Amino acid sequence: MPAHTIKSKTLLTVFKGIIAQDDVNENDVYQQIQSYLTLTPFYVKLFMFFSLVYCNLLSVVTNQKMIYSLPGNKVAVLLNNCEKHFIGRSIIMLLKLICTLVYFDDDKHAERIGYRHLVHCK
Amino acid sequence: MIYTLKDYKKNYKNIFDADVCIIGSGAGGAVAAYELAAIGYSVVVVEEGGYFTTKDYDGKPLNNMKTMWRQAGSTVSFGIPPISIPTGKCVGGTTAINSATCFRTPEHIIKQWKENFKVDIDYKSLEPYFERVENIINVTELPWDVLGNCAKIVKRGADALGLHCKPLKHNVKNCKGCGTCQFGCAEGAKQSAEISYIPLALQYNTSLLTHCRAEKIHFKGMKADSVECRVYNEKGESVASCTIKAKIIVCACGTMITPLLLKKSGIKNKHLAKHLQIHPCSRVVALMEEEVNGWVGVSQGAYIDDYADEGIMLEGIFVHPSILAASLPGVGKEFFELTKQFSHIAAFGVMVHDTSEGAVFGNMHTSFSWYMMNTKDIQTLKNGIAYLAQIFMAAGAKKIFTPISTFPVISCQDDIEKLKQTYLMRSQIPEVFAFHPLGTCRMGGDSDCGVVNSYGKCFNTDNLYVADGSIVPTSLGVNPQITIMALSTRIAGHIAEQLNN
Repeated sequence: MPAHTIKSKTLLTVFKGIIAQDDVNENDVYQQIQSYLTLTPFYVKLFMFFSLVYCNLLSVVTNQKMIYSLPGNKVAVLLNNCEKHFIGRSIIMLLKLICTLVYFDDDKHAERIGYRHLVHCK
Repeated sequence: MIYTLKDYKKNYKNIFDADVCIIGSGAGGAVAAYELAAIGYSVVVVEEGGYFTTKDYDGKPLNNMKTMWRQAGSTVSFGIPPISIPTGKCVGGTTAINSATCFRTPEHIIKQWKENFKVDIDYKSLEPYFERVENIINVTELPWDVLGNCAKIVKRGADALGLHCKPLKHNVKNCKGCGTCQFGCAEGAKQSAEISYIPLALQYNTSLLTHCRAEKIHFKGMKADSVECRVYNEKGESVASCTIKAKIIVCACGTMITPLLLKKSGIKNKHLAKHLQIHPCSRVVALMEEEVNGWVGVSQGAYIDDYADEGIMLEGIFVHPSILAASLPGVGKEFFELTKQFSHIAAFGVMVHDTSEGAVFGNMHTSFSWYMMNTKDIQTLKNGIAYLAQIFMAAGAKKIFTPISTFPVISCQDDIEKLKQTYLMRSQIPEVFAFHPLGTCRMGGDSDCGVVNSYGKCFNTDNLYVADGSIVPTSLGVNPQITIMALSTRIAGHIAEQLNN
């Protein structure tokens, strides 16, 4: 179970903060994100790492707690506040893209927004 | 013959001999391979990625990005804003993951090449090449039903404003509009290079080496003598090496890689790996009253070129929800509520005919680039976004989401007017993409103007050619697929003449 490290806990908290859905298999999500990131170049991995550090730093400054110790509603507020300036928005954009990429890859999740993979082209 | 991983002799130097070695199997390489093989020359095509067919496509972006996109789709140009530049790494190159949009090179652009870079090409002389390419890849106009509802909505808005929204031409056969163009055409309708040109080339004396990365070109004096390659498995481990000896070597690895390979091989030119132009793009997303189901229909259906004089091209861009959803504002419940309305979401893109220039760095494994959008291009992009918002407003959008951080949501005409008046800073638009990198080995009349001559031949070499987007001297203002293919056909003709002599 990878969800014990600061990195994995932060990543999963951010994931849940962005998607706000309970039916997430943490192991699957974490492994999917990691398997994607291993294929990316060093600068993407570095930016991802920096993004998670940034979320935690912001959380410590504003709430005196690491982001994974915050309740769900406070995580959402924190991430929402990030969107207001360039660096934060760039970070949230990357995190959001990785989250939606993994979440909606699942047929069950895609169906929730009315999308069914390849059905419409038959 | 197609070499897959199992066909190489492991831990052994595989040696190939051919008349022509072509590095890359995309829009440039595949075309050159077919044209030369068809007239009797032996050809070896070296491709870093794998050979994927419709059975490999599940319509899900994540899997296909991992296997078919270079660096899993995370190729980025640094600068403010950083710009994502996805390119293909598979047989067919970027043609396997593009939107199948086809435009001929605008005549005035070719004139500029002649005037500014002494390129010896005119529109008239390129016409037969355009026609040949368009026949082979079946460039066709699709009915509006296949172009999708996004295109129809934008047309409605454009009509109301007196603009001209026209259907784009696509290289497809029997396209039903499954909308998965960027992740490998699941219908097999897109006539990308691995469906059209590569099978044609394989009918002749052509060997296609997949999973094989060219590492260096070796020279004997001015003559390119052989290409040193390594074979990598899916994990990225080197499992074999290859040497390809050829009379002519053609670099067609794409704008981001070709200059790096040439540099590593010892080519020196002040323009090499510079003058990168990319057509920066962004998108506008609109929440409509009506059901859109934007995923039904081709992802890039229509275009508006009324603002071409300002350097703006508006083109369709509806991609899979797992990517487009990230464009919606907010996080958490607010964000997810919006994604639930995805069937009511329409999207369209803005593409800038850029005047900014960048450069490419890195190596063949990890390439990246530096590209800082200049003030003019930033304002052009902003104007394009404002025009598009206006069109969506005229089409009856409830809400419009822009990529501009100070105008994330537009819901009335006043907002659009304010946006038009705003002077946009680079840092206010973090969401910029680019799909058409060009110009890093540009053509020129001599080595003071460019890296290669008007026939793609590298200056100061006897037999090294470049045939991909990197030779296109300037950005085009339109999608470059046909331009690259036509230039490659022309270059192949010249190579045949050299081989004959």
